[in-house]
Amino acid sequence: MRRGSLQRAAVARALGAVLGGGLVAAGLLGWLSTQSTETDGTLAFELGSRAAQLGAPAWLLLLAAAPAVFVVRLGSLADFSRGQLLLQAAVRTALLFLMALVLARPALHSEAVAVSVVAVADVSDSVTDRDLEGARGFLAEVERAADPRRFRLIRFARWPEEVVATQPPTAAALGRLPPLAGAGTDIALGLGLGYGLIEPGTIPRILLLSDGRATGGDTLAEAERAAARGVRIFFRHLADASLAGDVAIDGLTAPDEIRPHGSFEIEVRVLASHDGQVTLRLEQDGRPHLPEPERRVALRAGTTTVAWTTRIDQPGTSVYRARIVAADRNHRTENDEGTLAVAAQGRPRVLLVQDEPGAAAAFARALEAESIDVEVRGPRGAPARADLEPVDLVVLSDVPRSELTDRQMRALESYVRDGGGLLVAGGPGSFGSGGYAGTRIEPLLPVRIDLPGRREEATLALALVIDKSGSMSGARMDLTKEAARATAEMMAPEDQIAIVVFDSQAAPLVRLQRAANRGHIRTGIARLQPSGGTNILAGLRDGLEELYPAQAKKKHVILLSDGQSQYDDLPELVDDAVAAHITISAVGVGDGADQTMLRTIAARGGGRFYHTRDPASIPRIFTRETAELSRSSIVEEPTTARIARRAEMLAGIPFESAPPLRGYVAARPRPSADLILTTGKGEPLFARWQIGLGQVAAWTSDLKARWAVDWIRWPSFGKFWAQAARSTMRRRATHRLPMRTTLDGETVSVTIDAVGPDDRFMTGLRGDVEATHTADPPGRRSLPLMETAPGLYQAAFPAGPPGALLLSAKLARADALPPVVQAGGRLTIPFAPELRPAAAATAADGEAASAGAAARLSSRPLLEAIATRTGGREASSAAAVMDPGPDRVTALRPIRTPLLLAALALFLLDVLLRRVRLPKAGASFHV
Amino acid sequence: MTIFGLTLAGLPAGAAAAIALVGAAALTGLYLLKLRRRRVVVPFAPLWAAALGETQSERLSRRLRRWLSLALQMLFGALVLLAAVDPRPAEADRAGRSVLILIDRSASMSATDEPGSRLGSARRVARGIVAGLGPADRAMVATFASGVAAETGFEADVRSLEGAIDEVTGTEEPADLPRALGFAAAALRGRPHPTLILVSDGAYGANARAQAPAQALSGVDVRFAPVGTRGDNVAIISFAARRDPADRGSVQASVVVQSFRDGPCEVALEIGTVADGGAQEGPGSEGAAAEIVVVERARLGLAPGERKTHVLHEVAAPGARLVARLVRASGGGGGGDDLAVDDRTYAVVPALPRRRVLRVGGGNLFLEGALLSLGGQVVVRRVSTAAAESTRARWPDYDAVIFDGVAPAPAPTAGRFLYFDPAGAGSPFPARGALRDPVVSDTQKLHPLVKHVALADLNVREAQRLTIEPGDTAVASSFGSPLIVARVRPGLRVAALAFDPRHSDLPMRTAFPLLLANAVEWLASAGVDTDAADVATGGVSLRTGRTFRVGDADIPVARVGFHRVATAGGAAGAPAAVVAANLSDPVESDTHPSAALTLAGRAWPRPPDAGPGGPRQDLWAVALIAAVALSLFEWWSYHRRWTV
Repeated sequence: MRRGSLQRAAVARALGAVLGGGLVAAGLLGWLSTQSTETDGTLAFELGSRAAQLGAPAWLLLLAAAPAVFVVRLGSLADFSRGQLLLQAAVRTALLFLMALVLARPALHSEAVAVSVVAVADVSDSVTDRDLEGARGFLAEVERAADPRRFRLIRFARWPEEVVATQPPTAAALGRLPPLAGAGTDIALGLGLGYGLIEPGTIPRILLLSDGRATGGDTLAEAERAAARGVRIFFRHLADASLAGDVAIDGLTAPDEIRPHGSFEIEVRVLASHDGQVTLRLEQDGRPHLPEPERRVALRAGTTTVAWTTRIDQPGTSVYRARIVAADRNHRTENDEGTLAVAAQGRPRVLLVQDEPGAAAAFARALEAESIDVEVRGPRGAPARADLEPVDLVVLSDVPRSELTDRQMRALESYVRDGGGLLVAGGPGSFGSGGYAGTRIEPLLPVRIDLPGRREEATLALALVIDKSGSMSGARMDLTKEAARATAEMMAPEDQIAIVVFDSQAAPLVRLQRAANRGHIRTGIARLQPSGGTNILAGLRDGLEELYPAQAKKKHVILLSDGQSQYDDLPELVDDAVAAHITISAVGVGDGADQTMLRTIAARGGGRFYHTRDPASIPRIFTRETAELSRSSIVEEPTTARIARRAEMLAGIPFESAPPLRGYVAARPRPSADLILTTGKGEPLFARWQIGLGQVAAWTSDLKARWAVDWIRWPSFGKFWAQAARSTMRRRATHRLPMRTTLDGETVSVTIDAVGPDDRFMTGLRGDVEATHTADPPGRRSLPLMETAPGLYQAAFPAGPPGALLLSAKLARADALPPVVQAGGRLTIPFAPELRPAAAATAADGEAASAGAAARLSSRPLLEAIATRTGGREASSAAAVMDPGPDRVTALRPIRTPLLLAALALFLLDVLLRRVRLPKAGASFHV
Repeated sequence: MTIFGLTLAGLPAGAAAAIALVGAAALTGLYLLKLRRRRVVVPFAPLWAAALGETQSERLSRRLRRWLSLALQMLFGALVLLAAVDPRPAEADRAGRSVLILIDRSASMSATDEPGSRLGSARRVARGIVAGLGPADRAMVATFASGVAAETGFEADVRSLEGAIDEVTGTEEPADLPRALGFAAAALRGRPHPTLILVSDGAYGANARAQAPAQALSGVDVRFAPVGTRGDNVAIISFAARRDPADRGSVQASVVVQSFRDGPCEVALEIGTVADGGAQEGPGSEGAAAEIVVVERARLGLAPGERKTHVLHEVAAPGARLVARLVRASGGGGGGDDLAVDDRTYAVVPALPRRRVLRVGGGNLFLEGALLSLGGQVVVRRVSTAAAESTRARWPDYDAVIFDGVAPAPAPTAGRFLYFDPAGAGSPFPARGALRDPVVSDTQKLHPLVKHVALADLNVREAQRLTIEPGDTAVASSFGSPLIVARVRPGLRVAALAFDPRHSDLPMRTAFPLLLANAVEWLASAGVDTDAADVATGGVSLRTGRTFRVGDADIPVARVGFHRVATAGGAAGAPAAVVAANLSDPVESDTHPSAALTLAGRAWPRPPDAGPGGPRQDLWAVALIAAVALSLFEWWSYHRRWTV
């Protein structure tokens, strides 16, 4: 009972002691934290003259157990004197304190001179085996001189990797990275990994072993970062590659604009580390370039340019490949090939639609002589919208309205509004006399084709005398009706028309009336039905009857028949008509027509005779005949061209020597049109204006040997029309800007300098550049262009594998109109930059070398720049790398180990005090 | 040294073994000693008989208690020694993960939509990841912006990792994600259970995502720890000044502002010049604290995603420093702006260096007029053809020597020359006859000589058929016959027109003074890309790289603002060049965070809360805590005589 109560009392004392101790410890911690300068849970304080820190001060709460140690001693059953028991408790408390202190992670700030070296060794393809072996030797020296814990090794090429050896020396394990990784040198990445391997609390050093030919990463920027971290970079230059000798194809270039059939020069840039001879081979689209597939040339160290004259026969893309076949010293073969893709733009393309074959041949020849492609089509050859896409300018040369369908006119209007160019040239079948009044084309023209003052006076009274016999049935009749309709529509409103039809008898289908009554006339024509025989005399007589009373300057009959008829009284009838100033033309359709009679009628009647087997030509004959007659707006008298306004298209044209034009179509300029040339009377000769995004020009004289017969022989005829055509055609050419492409290491930069025709920056555009790589399969990517300065648009992207790049860019205003700027470029992506011949890397002219710091600073200068920026230098020896010099680093050093050793010593003392009874003062020692 | 898969980071193994041996021997020796009993005089002897009559079993029990005590002491000593040697899982421990914590510290991480900033949030996330590492895991902390760097090696020390995380600071650079991921793939290659945890706001463009090295990360457990809560930013994404191509004395500046907000907003744009002496001098960024004289204010209403360009004509004198800044518009929908780095941009008006030109030849009003149009930046000295030879020695001193219709023999081999219609023995390009009415069929539009020069439909009465050598450039030609030629040789630059401009309509065109200005610039700037120089001195973008060339110096720029560049070889007292650097990166300015990341079709899941094997603990600490507990128990047991 007594013993139990004693034990309970002891436990109670111990617990009380622990509680009391805890309070004391907490108070101590609280006081310490008020002295601390840290806020992150650590305790920092001064220990004498040195700064100290407790990383986990909460462990000091273990000291709460210290009073319990003494309390336990009070009830101790051990056979020791009180003094020795007290001593034992003190030692055990000290041991407890040491352990609590260790758990509190104490550390002392101390100045260190130990050097930690991270060696960063270049193992890229440009480093030779001999250099690699040399690097291993030097690294082994450094490793021997360094503390093993403070030496780490990284190998790098395109990417870095730590070298971990199972057995020292680590340097012996330095080898190359997998093959693809060796094709680049990214020093910055190697350094970036190196920082992490530096032993904390030591003087940080990086030993860079490289040939200094960085191909990726911003090396100098990384050097700045290293300097900011206080890391000195020492270097060892691996320079064996420069001694090996190598020749490489750096790239191919071609002129900015290449046209089919025109010769141009492909320039092959050859890099060489030494003077010597090389044999080059050039291929075009996979075939040897003819007539000169190979050439032997002398090289100088650095860049040598070899030019090959070549040509492309078709628009489109051609791929040129240059290859080194043989060279004096050629260390590597991977860099012996270069490719360039060349897109040949077609020359400006003009579609010339003319009224009859060969009429505007001189005009076409003149344009072709000025490097403009001309496609000539007949009057029915006006194209549909899809055909117009590749065309820069459409020229309508004396094409009557009847030759164009509504669909074709809509296509032309849409083509012009979308940016195409249209030139309408005059002639008897053009403008007003061509029947364009009221058509979709009329409002496009920069001149007005209705002439006030001539409106009320009927110029022409026309009678169409049409055979409607049974033989005219089918297509013949349909086309005849269409011809009659077209004739009526192309006549001026104030002119008069009558239509008389005949079979065995004659009857007026449309009485003589103003052509303005187009609806009534069309209705009359629609009633025409074939039937019966053929009585030309009756028909002609009725037609003439219609014209006799007419008041008009010109009276004319067009007689159409496909059959035979009596000759009786015909000559007299014709003679009477001639006496009444009525002229007669005759049209015979098919082999059944009595050509002899019709020719006679036309000859006696002062008109023209036409014979056709193709009924489809009937409308054209009618409209042509009508156009010849409707010449109210035609002025057939000599006139000279006068300059109304100085325009760029007139530059260098000596109009003082220009011969006169023999005629033109009278017209009036529209108020907002640009009147450039006038006739002697001040009427428009050449006028132009903008419609939508395109331009329409009107030339009121003709392009053929009728009114312009003297101009065709004029020496400046071709130049004038080439300049006029260029300034009117689609703005594709003028808004095509050059694109600057540069290869900086493995990055392609694209720059478009957008300066408009007014020499002002084109700002606020948005667009993309599309890059097509000629690899197999071709790769294509699209990147946004950034406006980095007024009118300067840029993009950058990784180059990709060796090959050729074709680039095209479109920029537009934000309001989504069609592109206002187009640009194209091309670039050779040569071998990996890693394989650039050593000497050539530094010997190039400033213009030839690609831009970019990595390319400019190469080899040794780059390494020196890195060292200079970080306070390092060339590592002459291992000792130089390991020498701390004036460098010192203040580090927080944990003091766990010495404290634990002290605890062990205290522990032995503790045991000793248990096993040995201390003698009392003055007593002898007994065991 | 590695023992049982553990490396010893503290006391070396040899020393530990020696201490263990000595300690064990000492302890055993002490326990072999028989403690002398204390002498106590007891007056009644029969009492001792009971005490001395101890049984055999009691004697054995006492002996066992002593040996138990020895065992406890041995165990205690061993635990303390174990703590001293600090055993850690070896590098080659295949059980643990290799975790690379990749922290984005690009400009967008400075957005303030999170308490502190996104970077602060990233640090907290990274610390959480470290706290969740398993005992066998090893982790590396790496950071990236335009560059990427390891902040630690792969290590197990939690405090070291946390220390590195706490040290991560933000940058004003854009992020280069492909490069960072390439680095991560390289650092993790060959390591056991590679795990990559990207701590970022995911502000990467489509191209950056497309270029990410997905193949290299194929065997890596990739994780994405997102930070950021909203996208609310309006940015100046471009600001630069350029010389007007038509009037080189005039300068234009353009500011491109883009809204990255989800709703419409209105901002005020202020453009001003930095007052002389108002800017802080010295390395690095300057201008933020400078006094700005506002010269233009504009109020811009922006729809979501809208980009507007504001152009200033005739901005300021060459060399002036410009600042454009966004100010929240009062009234309208100003809204918030979480990123400050793109609200203030800088530009330097390109300086126009003075050029010294010597003109040799007779009277030529066209040429004189064109030279006059170049303004005061060109100082022209004129000598007659007869007096040309007397000036030969000084030709290399001029920025350009113009030979108008003359070609002194022998042709100079050093210097910078422009020939008009060169003829005779002194011509650097011998003529092979004449060419009537040549047409300009081909132009090297990228050549600096014809920059912004339109030569279409140029009318020339007669030109010479010049012979050019390999290395010469036919800048413009007529069906293979050069009309404008450029030659570059070491120490020599020559440009030539194959015709007399007076026999063409060139002097009548704006192309003529432009061509002349280009020629003088090209000759004078030998070796310097004038195009690049124009832009570089106007403003550089951190988006396109950090190292820029200004004059002969390559300068790495890391922060936006004005940077004063003094070249090492510059003459004493020579004014240092000033470069303006801006972020100019719409991708960084678009602060909409990504809650998820998908690269090459592979979705990156969130990181796990804790690694396999539970939270990590240092072995030494465990051993020491056990030693403390053992020590207290042993103390109690001893004094209660359970052990002796």
